[in-house]
Amino acid sequence: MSQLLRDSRTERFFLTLNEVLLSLLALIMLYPLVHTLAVSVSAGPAAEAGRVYLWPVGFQTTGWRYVVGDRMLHRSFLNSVYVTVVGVVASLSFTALFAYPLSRSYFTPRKALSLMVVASLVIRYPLIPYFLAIRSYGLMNNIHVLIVTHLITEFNLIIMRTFFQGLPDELEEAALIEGANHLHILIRIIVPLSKPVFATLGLFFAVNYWNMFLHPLMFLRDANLMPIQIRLRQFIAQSAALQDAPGEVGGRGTMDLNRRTIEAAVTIFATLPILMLYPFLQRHFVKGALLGSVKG
Amino acid sequence: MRKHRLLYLMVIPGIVWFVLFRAIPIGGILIAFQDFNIFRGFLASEWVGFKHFAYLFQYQDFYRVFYNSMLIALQDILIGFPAPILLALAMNEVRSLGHKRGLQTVLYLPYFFSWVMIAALFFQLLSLNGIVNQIIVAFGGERTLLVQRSWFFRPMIVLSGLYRNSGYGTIVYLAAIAGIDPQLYEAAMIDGANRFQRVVRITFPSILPTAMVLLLLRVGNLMNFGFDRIYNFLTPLTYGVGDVFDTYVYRVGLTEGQYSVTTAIGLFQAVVAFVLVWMVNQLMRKQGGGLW
Repeated sequence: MSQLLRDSRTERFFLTLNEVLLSLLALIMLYPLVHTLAVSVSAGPAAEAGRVYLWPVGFQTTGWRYVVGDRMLHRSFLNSVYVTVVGVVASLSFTALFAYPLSRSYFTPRKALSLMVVASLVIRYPLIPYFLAIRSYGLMNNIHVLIVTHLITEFNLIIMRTFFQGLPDELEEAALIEGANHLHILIRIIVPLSKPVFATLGLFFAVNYWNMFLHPLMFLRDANLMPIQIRLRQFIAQSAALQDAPGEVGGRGTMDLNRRTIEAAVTIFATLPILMLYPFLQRHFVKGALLGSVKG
Repeated sequence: MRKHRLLYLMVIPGIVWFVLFRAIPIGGILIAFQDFNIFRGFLASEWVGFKHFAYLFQYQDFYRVFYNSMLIALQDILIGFPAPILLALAMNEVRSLGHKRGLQTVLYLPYFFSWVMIAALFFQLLSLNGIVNQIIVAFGGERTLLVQRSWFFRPMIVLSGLYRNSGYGTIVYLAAIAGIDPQLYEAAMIDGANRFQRVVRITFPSILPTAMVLLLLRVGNLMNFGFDRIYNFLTPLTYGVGDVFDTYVYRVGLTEGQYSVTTAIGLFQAVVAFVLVWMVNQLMRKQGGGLW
């Protein structure tokens, strides 16, 4: 038997080749990030001439000193932090509040409301009427428009409802008999039992809020309100000779020798929260990717 | 039932939300049949029937944008769909658990980057003095600003999609592979199947149903390619090949204020998308599991 289970020599060769190729792929995938990190702490002229690869050339902190000194950049970073933190809490609460009744079998309008959710998933709202509607609500140039429009995403709502449906009914029945109301049950019983799904959906909401781009582009005008992605876009748009980004990046001529290192530093800075949290989150998003594949 | 009355109150905020941010915008499609005037508003604008659609279907730009949207989405499926399957099959054969974990950590990461960030990374590599141009020059080619070249736009979009999504896409397949009964492999080994035969005859067929479902979902989503992904790579020099429905509607509708025509485009897009999803759902129902 053991003789049978052993791989032949050609098989072992291919297994090794497979691992080598995969490692190579991983290196290629990692290259852009490490390269940008290296550029951000290199000397401007070396970066401009393309002499920086995976290791800094002529170590300099010009790029990062720019990041430390640009008040507008801090401002947009804080805007993004605010939208993400408040947004995740608001979205999770709002989604839970709606998902809980939808998960109760004795709640009569359940079917009609579920149909509404699926319909809204299938029928795509066109961009222009969406924009005009939200403008008519007076939400233009208000940073909370980013949160209000994302209180619910259909997909996350369906995932949460499905999770609630899977919880045992006994606790809830006992609580109802003892006179607790449904809001108590949701807060005291359902939410504590649903920590994993809250963690996973919270992660997806957070990434979504942090990376949000089209909504601020459409609804915000004031440079003080812009989140970090819009600000980052302004930096890279200049280097790619794109002139269509809204707003101006102050204080830097295009002939600036440190242009590339500054861009690199801003790029890393804008992704810092994701890079820092990523190692702790892997367990949750693997679970989330699988939740997403279960049909609602 | 009185004790369940609170449940009715709990759904009210959600219903209001759906009305404000989904139903009203969908109803707003009607401005495609108006000469919508921002100062008169929806109620006082003039109704013009199918004027904008008649205009649209004679309009060169419409066909260009339609063609671009379809071509980019189809190329993305053609390359982007099989990539995570192959990657998952390869990763499943990695013997050391530590090595596998390390690979997963690296390959999943780009999924969490914004498209702005991914464009920033790509622009670093594709700049005049960037590594890609250095490789081109080393092979005797000519230095060129690839970001602005029409022929490079679609490959760049497909590549950026591979970079961001193919690693993350393996999660579902790896889970499907983990669910395969080990006895199948043991039986195959006793029958003398080598590793390669086991992958082709057992692993691959086992993940095929999952793959089919994901493929159908992608086809259903053909029209929703995503604004961010195109917009961040688009330059005025590549509008010809890169302009898709979303970017065109944003530019012509929002920044130039042609609300009615672009809503007509939006309606067209929504109808095609709905038909696709409906067809996909019929297909999936036949397999025993529709979306609704």
